[in-house]
Amino acid sequence: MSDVESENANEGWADAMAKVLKKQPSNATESTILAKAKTIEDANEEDEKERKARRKRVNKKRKWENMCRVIPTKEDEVYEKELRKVATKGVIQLFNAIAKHQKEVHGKLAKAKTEGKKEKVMKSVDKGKFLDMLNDGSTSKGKKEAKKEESKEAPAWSVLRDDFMMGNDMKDWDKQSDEEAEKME
Amino acid sequence: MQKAPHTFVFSKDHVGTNVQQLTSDFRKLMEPYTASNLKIRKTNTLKDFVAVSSPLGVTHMIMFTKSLSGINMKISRLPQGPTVHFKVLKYSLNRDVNLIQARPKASQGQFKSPPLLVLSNFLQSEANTSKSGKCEVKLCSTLLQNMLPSLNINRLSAGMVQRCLLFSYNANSKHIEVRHYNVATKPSNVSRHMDDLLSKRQSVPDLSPLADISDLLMSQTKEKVQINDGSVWTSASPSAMVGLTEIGPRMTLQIYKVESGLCQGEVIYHSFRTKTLEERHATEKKVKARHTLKQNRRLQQEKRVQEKRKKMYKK
Repeated sequence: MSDVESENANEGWADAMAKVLKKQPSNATESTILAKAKTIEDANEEDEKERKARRKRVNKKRKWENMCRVIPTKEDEVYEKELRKVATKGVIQLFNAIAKHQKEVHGKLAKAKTEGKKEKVMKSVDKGKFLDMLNDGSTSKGKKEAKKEESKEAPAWSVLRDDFMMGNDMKDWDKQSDEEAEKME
Repeated sequence: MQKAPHTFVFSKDHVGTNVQQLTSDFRKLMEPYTASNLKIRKTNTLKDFVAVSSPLGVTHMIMFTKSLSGINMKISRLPQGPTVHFKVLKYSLNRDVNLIQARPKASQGQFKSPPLLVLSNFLQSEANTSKSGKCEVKLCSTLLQNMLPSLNINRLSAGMVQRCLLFSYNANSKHIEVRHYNVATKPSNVSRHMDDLLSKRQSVPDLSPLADISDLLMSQTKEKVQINDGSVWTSASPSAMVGLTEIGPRMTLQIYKVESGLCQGEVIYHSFRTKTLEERHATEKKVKARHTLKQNRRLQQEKRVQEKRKKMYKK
């Protein structure tokens, strides 16, 4: 009895297996295993796209970051030398003018015996004279102005004056600007 | 006694690391009369700087901004203006400048004294432009001169000038070149050994070939003096030489706008746009209308506040 039963069971198993094996796969190219997974080609293509987009972004940012920035080269050296010459000339002119001026003042101070006279000497220092001395040394076009450039004719607009808002008469600042506003009108 | 002018140097909004570096380089340049550790937040407005400027004695503000079209630098006088807007056409950072130098130079304490300002070609250009009624070059040079402390000619010595700031104006292209140099002085007419001793390049020169210490000094006669070693040194007088070495940053600027106020107010000069008389009148009218409207509103509001106060007191 048990033999017959086991035979039947094997038969059933064999039928089931035969069914599965007889079944044709629906499409030979598409695998049924992990059907939704990306193929290698797909993945590569997408990677490439992403990489390109990222590269574009990075390039754009780098371009923006390095906007107007110039790395100096040896070729600029000729022009730089010229500029340096101008600056050097300015510095030398100032040094010489100051040496001359200080020598003069020291000479005068040595002659002045009393404190009062010494004070007078210090007060007599003329800004215009010093600037003339400074400009005497300039022979080329590159004229050098010291910090204290004196404008002989004061410009009408107060902002253009050298001592604009530098003095201690700040208490009437609002009046001053009002006057100017009136003038402008 | 005048106080030395002080500056704020900062960049505003998103400018990127390079312009931030440029800002800090420029801040270094403006030493010692500048806020070296100035920190600003996104929420800071110009009003904040104005409010803080007068108690701190800050007279000028230098602001770097960046847009898609370029980098801008604004120099303005605090607290009321004027403001000069520059376009930064080209710039190089300190480290870029140092990179091509064979021997970058930095003297000790060079940032302890302010730089000497050298303005080149400004006077002539002023004379030319004032004929045509434009004043932007003059205004710019005045602003730059006032930005740095003036020299005391009675007390100044060569040792106090350790840096030099050059603004060179090109009248044709209307560009302004900005360069920043270290200034070094050394005596000329000394022997190479003495020079070594003085410049401290070598702690003690090689004395082995000498029989006597006097040979060190006498060697001057044997070795001819170098007037110019390289191209850096220039003889200032028979006894001294001056050498300039670039520190950086480098900039090429172009004035493009001048405003009468602090980043606002009447546009005095514009390089790209000239307004016709009618347009100018129209804007004047607009500004006036805005001003009166604001005043009226303020008056109205004051009235309301007073009425409210009266009511409160009655109760």
